[in-house]
Amino acid sequence: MSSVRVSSLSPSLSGPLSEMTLSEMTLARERLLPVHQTLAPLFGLNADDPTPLALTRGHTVACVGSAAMSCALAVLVAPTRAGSWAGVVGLPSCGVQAAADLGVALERTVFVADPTGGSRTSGQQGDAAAALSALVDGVDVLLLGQRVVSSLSTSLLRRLQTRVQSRGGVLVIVSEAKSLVSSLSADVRLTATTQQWQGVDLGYGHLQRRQVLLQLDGRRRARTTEQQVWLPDHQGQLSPVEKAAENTGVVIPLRHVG
Amino acid sequence: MAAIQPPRCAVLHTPAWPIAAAILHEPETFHVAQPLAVFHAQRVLSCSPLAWREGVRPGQRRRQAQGACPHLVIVPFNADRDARMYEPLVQSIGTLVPLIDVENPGSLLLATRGPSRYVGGDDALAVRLLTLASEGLSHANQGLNVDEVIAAGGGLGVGIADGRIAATLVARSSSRRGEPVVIQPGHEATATFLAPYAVKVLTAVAGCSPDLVDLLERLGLRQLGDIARLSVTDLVGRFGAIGETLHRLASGTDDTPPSTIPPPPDLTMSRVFDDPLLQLDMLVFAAKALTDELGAYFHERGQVCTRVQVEAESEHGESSQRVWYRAEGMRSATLLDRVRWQLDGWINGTEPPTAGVTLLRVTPIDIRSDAGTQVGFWGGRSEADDNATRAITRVIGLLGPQSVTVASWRGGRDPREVYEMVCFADIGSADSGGVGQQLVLRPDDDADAAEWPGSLPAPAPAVVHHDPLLVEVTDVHGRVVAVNGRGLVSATPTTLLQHGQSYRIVAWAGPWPVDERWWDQRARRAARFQLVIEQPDGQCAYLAEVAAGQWWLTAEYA
Repeated sequence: MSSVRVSSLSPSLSGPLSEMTLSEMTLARERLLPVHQTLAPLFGLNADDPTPLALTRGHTVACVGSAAMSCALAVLVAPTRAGSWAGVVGLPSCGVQAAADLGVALERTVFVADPTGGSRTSGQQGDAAAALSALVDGVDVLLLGQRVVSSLSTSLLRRLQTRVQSRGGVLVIVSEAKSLVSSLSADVRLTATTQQWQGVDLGYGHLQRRQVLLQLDGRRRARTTEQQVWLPDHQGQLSPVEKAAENTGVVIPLRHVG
Repeated sequence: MAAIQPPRCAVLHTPAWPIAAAILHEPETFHVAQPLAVFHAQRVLSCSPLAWREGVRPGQRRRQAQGACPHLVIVPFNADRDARMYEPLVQSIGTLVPLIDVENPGSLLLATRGPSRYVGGDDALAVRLLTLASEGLSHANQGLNVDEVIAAGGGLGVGIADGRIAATLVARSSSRRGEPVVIQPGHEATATFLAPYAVKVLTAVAGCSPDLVDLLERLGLRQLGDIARLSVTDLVGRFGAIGETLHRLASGTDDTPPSTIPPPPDLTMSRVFDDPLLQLDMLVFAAKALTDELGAYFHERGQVCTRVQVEAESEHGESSQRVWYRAEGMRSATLLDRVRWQLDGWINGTEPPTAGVTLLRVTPIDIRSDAGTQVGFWGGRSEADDNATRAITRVIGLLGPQSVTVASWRGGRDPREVYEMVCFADIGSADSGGVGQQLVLRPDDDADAAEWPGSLPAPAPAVVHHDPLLVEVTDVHGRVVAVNGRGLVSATPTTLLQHGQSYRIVAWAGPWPVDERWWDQRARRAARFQLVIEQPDGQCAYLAEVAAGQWWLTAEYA
């Protein structure tokens, strides 16, 4: 009786990763996630496009500077509105109301506690790696705080980045510092610098809006693009600074503040 | 058309069972003498008669309810607890009637033909059911006055009538009256009983859509009798197929949906364990395979199961049998919930099996075509939602349920309080739609947000410190700036000191006094400021709070 030979894939290929990788045929549009309309000029797109597709899936976006947190939340707005899920990891201080005002779809945003627990012990690292890669499987945008990034080991970060690339997600890293303190190489770097707060003076008024200079540079980008935006504007949203309005001032309607 | 004789049914009904279950479960925490209310998704699910008298009504928002009754005690919603606490009652009645149909914890239905002849008539049966029910509960909850507890749950009503709908309505009125009610058999008596009921009851007892009920009311059909008087032909002509159902419901002839198809016999799923299992977790894990397989079978055919029988048998021959009913239909997750409730009640109940469980059997009884959700093409539930839910469930498994949260709007003056973080595990387990369906994500309207006078106007801070940072704010002379009892600042703040560094304050606003919760221990008096400081790399704005002479940074407009 002849023996039956069972041919099988090598274990490394038949694992779950191979099923999850992007199929070879993807349209260019499908490899992109939308960005907020106001951010479109930064990516060299037309500002009139209501859903500019600019975030390349698999990329790592680093948000740095004094307005980094608002900037990172602004990146979440368009993808979550378009039906993608977002995971915010290790940022317990993230202002949920600010996110909601900016337009982040909270019904598709989950907040995950720091999986590393702030320690670099190997046991924690293993759990953190498993949890983060499980999360990457389900969400399109993963927002990581600087604390999580710096408590993960270099090799784990590389693996996470590879995982994000193969799953077609986008990794957004928030860092208050001027530049990213990490071994991660970001594909896109958004520097948000506070120019000026408006609405408050010596003893009267209240914070109304903030002018922020957004600068975008990154790999394979010839020059740094920059734009002046209100982040947040007087409704807590992101809007462009009109050149004319800059000098003449804009009338902010009176409203009931309780 | 010959009227079908509907089966004679008895219904046991406790209107506010979750309340009674909570008292039985935690007698130290909840008392019958307190006004109690169970909340689910920020709205009153059920309330005790005491709370009702104070003006609390099911469907109210939490704040309204607390406004009507300030000393209202809030009972957390817990479906497992409700089901587990109901189990002794069901078991006790199970000694008289073999097959009981539990519609939901708090309400059960049984066919009376056999039992009624056995105990000597419907009246005797009603009394017997009441006795059995309260005996079962007293036996399981020694040391508690069960009658009082049932009264806090709105009383225990027993109604016997022809057909499910009539029996349910009779039981409801019986729980209000406090004595069993029996409607004489026969079509005439049933129709006369049903006639004066408002058509609105169809939503509660027969699952009719509120839109349909609204339409009926606008057409002038306000009572069931109005519908019953019309001819079936006219109703079908006006409403389509549902017209016939309406007529049957209103005249009390039958309520079995015509689309119910008896399942083929091979649908019974069972699992025999060679090694008897006594641990609930392992049993539920085994049951998951059964329910998943059933769920997949129904899913393929576009069907849902509305009634299912769950049986478990121990090595010593003890068994637990129960029929579960859910009008919306059950899929794998909801089926598994039912199995878990039953097994939990049996194994951790008063008469636990003396040996491990050897057999688990799940038999679908009623199946209907699924008119429910489909994966959306434009909007609705999408594949991304399913993927995300799956991934998040896995993360919860790895990190624990507390670590994965979603935001739910709650309202408040402080940026820390406006959104509440809710565990994903608590809201994501149901098999209906995404996160948004069970949560309040943002205020319903401006009026809701305006209910918080003194809340800060937009924009909101992007970084919120749940543990505020201790700082010092001084004036030109280096003295700490203070706010007096009348809310006046002692001097102009000029410098912010943090970690030994000093920063110049370029703009500030405030103080805005906050005097919250002065009626209980969580009282808080503080004055809030917005401070803009100059840093080498630009301006930085903070929300600061001064309380008891100390300055804290509570949020940062980062």
